[in-house]
Amino acid sequence: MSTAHASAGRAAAADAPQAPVAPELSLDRAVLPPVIGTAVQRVDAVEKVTGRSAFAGDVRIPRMLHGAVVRSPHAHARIVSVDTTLAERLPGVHAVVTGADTARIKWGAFRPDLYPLALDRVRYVGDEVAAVAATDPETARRAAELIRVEYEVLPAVLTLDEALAEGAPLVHDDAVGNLAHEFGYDRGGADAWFERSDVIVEGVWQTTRQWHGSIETIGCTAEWSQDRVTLWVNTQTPFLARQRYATALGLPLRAVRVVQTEVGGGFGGKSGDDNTSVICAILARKSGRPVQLVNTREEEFLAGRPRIPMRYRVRLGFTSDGLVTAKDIDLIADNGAYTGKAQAVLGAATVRHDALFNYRAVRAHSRLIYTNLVPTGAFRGFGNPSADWAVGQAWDLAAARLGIEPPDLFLLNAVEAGSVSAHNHRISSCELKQCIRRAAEAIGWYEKRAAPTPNRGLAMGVSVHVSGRRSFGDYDGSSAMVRLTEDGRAAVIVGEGEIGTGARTTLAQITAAELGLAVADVTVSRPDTDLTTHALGALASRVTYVAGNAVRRAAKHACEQLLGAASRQLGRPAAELWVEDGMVHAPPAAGEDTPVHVPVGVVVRAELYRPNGQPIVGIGSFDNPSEFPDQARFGNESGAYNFVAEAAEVEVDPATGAVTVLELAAAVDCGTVLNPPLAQGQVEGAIAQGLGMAITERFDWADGAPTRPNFVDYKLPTAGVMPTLHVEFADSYEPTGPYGAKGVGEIALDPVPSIVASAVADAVGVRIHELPITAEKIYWGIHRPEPGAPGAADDPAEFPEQGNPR
Amino acid sequence: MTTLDRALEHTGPLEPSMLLTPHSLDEALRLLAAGDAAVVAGGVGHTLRRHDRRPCPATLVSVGRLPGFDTVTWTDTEVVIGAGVRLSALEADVRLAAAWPMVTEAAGSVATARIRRMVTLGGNIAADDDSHDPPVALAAAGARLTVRDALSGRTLAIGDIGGLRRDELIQDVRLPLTAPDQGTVGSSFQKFLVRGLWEYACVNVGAVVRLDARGAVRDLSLAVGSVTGGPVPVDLAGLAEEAGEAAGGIDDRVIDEAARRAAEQTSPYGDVRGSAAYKTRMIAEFARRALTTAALRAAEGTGR
Amino acid sequence: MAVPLRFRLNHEDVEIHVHDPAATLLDLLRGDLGLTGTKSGCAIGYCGACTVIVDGEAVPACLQMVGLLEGREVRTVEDLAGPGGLDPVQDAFVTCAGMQCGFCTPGHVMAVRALLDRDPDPGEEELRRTVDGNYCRCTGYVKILDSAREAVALERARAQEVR
Repeated sequence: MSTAHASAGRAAAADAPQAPVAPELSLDRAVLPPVIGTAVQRVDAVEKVTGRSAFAGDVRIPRMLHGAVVRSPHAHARIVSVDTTLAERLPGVHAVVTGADTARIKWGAFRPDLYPLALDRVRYVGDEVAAVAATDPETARRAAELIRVEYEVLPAVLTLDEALAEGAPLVHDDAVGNLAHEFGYDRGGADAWFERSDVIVEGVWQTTRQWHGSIETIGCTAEWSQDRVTLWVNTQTPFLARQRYATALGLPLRAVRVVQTEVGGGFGGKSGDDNTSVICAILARKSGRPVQLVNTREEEFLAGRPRIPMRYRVRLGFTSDGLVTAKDIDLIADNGAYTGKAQAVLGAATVRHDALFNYRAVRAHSRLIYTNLVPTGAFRGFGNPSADWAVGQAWDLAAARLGIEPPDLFLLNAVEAGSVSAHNHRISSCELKQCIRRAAEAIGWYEKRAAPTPNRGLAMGVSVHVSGRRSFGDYDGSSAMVRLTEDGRAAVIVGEGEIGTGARTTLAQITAAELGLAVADVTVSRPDTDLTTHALGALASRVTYVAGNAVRRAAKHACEQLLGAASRQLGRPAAELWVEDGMVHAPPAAGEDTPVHVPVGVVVRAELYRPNGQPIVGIGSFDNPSEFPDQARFGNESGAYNFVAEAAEVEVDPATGAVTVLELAAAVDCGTVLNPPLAQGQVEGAIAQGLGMAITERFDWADGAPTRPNFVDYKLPTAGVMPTLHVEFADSYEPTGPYGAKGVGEIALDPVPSIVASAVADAVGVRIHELPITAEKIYWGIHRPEPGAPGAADDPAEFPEQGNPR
Repeated sequence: MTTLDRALEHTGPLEPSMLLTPHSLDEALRLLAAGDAAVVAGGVGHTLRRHDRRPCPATLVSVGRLPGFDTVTWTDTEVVIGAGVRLSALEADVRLAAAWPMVTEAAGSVATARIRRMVTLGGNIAADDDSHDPPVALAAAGARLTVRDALSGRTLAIGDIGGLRRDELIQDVRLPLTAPDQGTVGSSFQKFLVRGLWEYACVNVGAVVRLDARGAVRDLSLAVGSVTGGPVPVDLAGLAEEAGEAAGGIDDRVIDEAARRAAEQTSPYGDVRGSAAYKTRMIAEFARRALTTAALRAAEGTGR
Repeated sequence: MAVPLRFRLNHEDVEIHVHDPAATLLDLLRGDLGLTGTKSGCAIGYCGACTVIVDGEAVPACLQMVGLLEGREVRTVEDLAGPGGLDPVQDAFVTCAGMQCGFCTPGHVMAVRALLDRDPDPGEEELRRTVDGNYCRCTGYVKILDSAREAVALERARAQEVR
């Protein structure tokens, strides 16, 4: 891919460094450089197709040992004793650790409640109790099986209702009523607006656990050097993880170095809320050797941090002509045994949806409840898919009650650029209405409505997402360095990392565009907390927007230095110079005929190879122009919001209830699309995960855990169940984004469960109230259930769900 | 299947296995007779047990490549399928697909093509798993298993596989063939994938319809899998006679009655693929579908 | 007691001693032989990330007992690209952006490679069936199917060049 863009340097040279956001970044849309919006090949594609990429389990260090973990088989128990004698005697075993080997410090992103290894109590099936390091994985596993743990089994709370019951056993003694977190608000006076409503719809909708199912499980390799430990981890968030791991290990921050390996899928599941890396570090310290610890698939299911099951009671009010008045939700969320990021997810699941429509009043009461089940946490969408499912069902009911087609109802109420939500979401660019129209067109909404097919149904849903969110202290920024090398390349040093989305490729494109270099001449670092800039990492759909801006500024800064150096070297004013195709160009000097072309590397080398010579290193930073929301979640979370409208057509076999998603159209507003195949890939993959959440992903449960914690029961969508997809991007431009771009990583997952459910209701008149949408639930909705059999009902309490713990 | 079986917590570490590769059936049977040995063919079942850290015999006897173990032989009255035939080969057997489409359909519906290349028919049957597809089809077809030990041989029905001893080996599977002047046979295998993607069946049903030379129903057969004690042959006593009297082949009343009996006579269990109550309804539904297709195929006289 | 095992691995004769013949090819490749291009995703044959080619057929290495490999021929992803560049299947995945995190990619590549070795001109149904045997959590399979189709085209073009 040969790329360069005219006069990048010229534009940059005219600007002062670190100018304010808006003027500097508001490029005229018509002059986007050619490398922006182009299908640039991924910079890591060849490594990936050849199997040379080094994922967490591919790290090899001399003398490296392998770890294995002993986990609780009980949902709630007191540890009476741990006998490690037999394990220690097994040849090949180099370390056995228990809670006694830890710093006995609780850790967690928001509410520290997790020990690295259990001290006296285990709180879910999978809780870590002990661990072993041995010469090979099989020996480690055998040694782990030789550890004898004596438990006194305690009463456990295995459902939300059990946890909330009067006198329920406490998961943590300091969490009265098993309440981990709670907040609420009433903005705009909900009661008054409901009184003025002509149509009110209400219902209860519940989601279930969904696991990330990254094909690569969580893994770490740890090595100590004196009093410092280096962790090679497949984490999405190396700097945030380092902070938590240091706390968990009882070490100063400076004693922990985190290096990101290749990450085989993140989706929130590798954002540093689990114990694997911490245990790995403890094993390495005790054994005095490097240790690698990689979750088995079973461990990933038992002790990952799946999506939070949420039970929503939703109430919506409308005027008779379809204007939404008020929204009221009561939300109970299943935290599992430890909190991790669930507290933040609860916030998004409560407020984010209110940035979609012009509600006059919104009220909410949200509670996060401890149970003796696998801890829950961040998963792509971060609460939005749950909200979009529950609230989306209420909107779909309202459309039917009002006699307005859903796309038309959405258009009546959708936010626009300049809208401000009740929580102070300040919407900058917004093409939601364009998305609604385009999704309807792509699926052939009105044609299909005009000629309905029996047992087929249509539905539409919409969603909004952030481009980065201020969650961790009052900062959602990024910083980067761009070093120009004496061989004419740009080395981008940034700590954000790559989890598969193609972030390193888009950051390379931005750098190439700013510097007039080919993408092939740009390298983007992997995060290393010792070497790269500080970064929050891949979460909240933030890297393109936040890091993209920081990298762009750093590249621009480097370009200014380059032109300054060339100016001195050539004796020409910087304003006359520009960079293109890897060369610094100048028009013919006065009295000369030929223009001047000097390779970038020559300028860089000449700038260094002189007395008191200087390297060319540009720095840039960007802080999301957003607010740190308060305790009641008031505050403009993000500087830019992305939007989607999705429409689906499904077919139901009334004899079995089996549902087939035939077609799904997604129209996405993510601002400028920097790299079309990469952006499409985000949308296509998110839809597949949404279909898994909607239809296929569930377990059998017994005594607080899945009975077969592997892919036998838990079915990820395969190629065979994917519908025909229509993916479109709105014509959109975000003035604060890099070249007009916004986030796109999560948004397309959000509406999928809701539109599948609404389309099923449209097809056969059965409204599902608890995910996943199984053939059986649909069947019993069509056919009269036998006494005691599960049937469709409005109250989930009457709705036995096999996909949930009992 | 991978089960989080907490009773296994203290079964203790696995010891490395010894793998023996005999060169003849007799040698294999002698090794099995020596005790504490298990058969591996494709090795899939053993590898999964090992993954689950379930107890295994110290000695494994590899039979997957025994001479003659993977051939399909035809006589006038039966087709003899070697126990070592891979499911992928069975699925692709055109002649078998003409005579017993139900069997090739069942073989072809197991997991993915990649797994079917490893799994042998004998191994799939010997696993004695009520949800496996091929045994359901074979039970409906009235297949017989030739079973050998070091001293003698015997014949087992599919449903008696639980009686297979550790020192015995399935040698082949025999399916009856109908002479052309005796009428036609149609068969069909139906596997309900409740989530629309490959996995174990929610319910799986095999059905056979035999018509005499005049087109009247002579015999009906139905077997149901993924139920307790499965595959369960359904007792359809009297139904073939009832159907045979009706001119023009099998009518809907007979099919509905057969489906009703299939549901009544089987005990499905609730799991991730559905509650027992739902599966009972689905057994009736897929029995109906299997019989309808089988009858159609019999009437066409082509088997398919 | 270690027992000798002889097989062909990526066109070379290999003779090793294995401690446990019931161990899996996956563990042998990744552990003892250091061939980490073959990935472990579930270890029970479901995800396809460990797909390798044994005697010309795609199989999950996690279900392949090493003891059963005696005298057989194994190809892993490390065998595909050579001094002449990438295999056409790999080229197709690169061209069509048929990957995101890349963890499932070697398995997908090997599955399509095995298919094309058996049938250089498979139909759409056969391509879909092949891709259906490998999980991918990132892509939604759209660009993987595109890559599989492109691989057929590239393979055909290469065959014509050779001719």
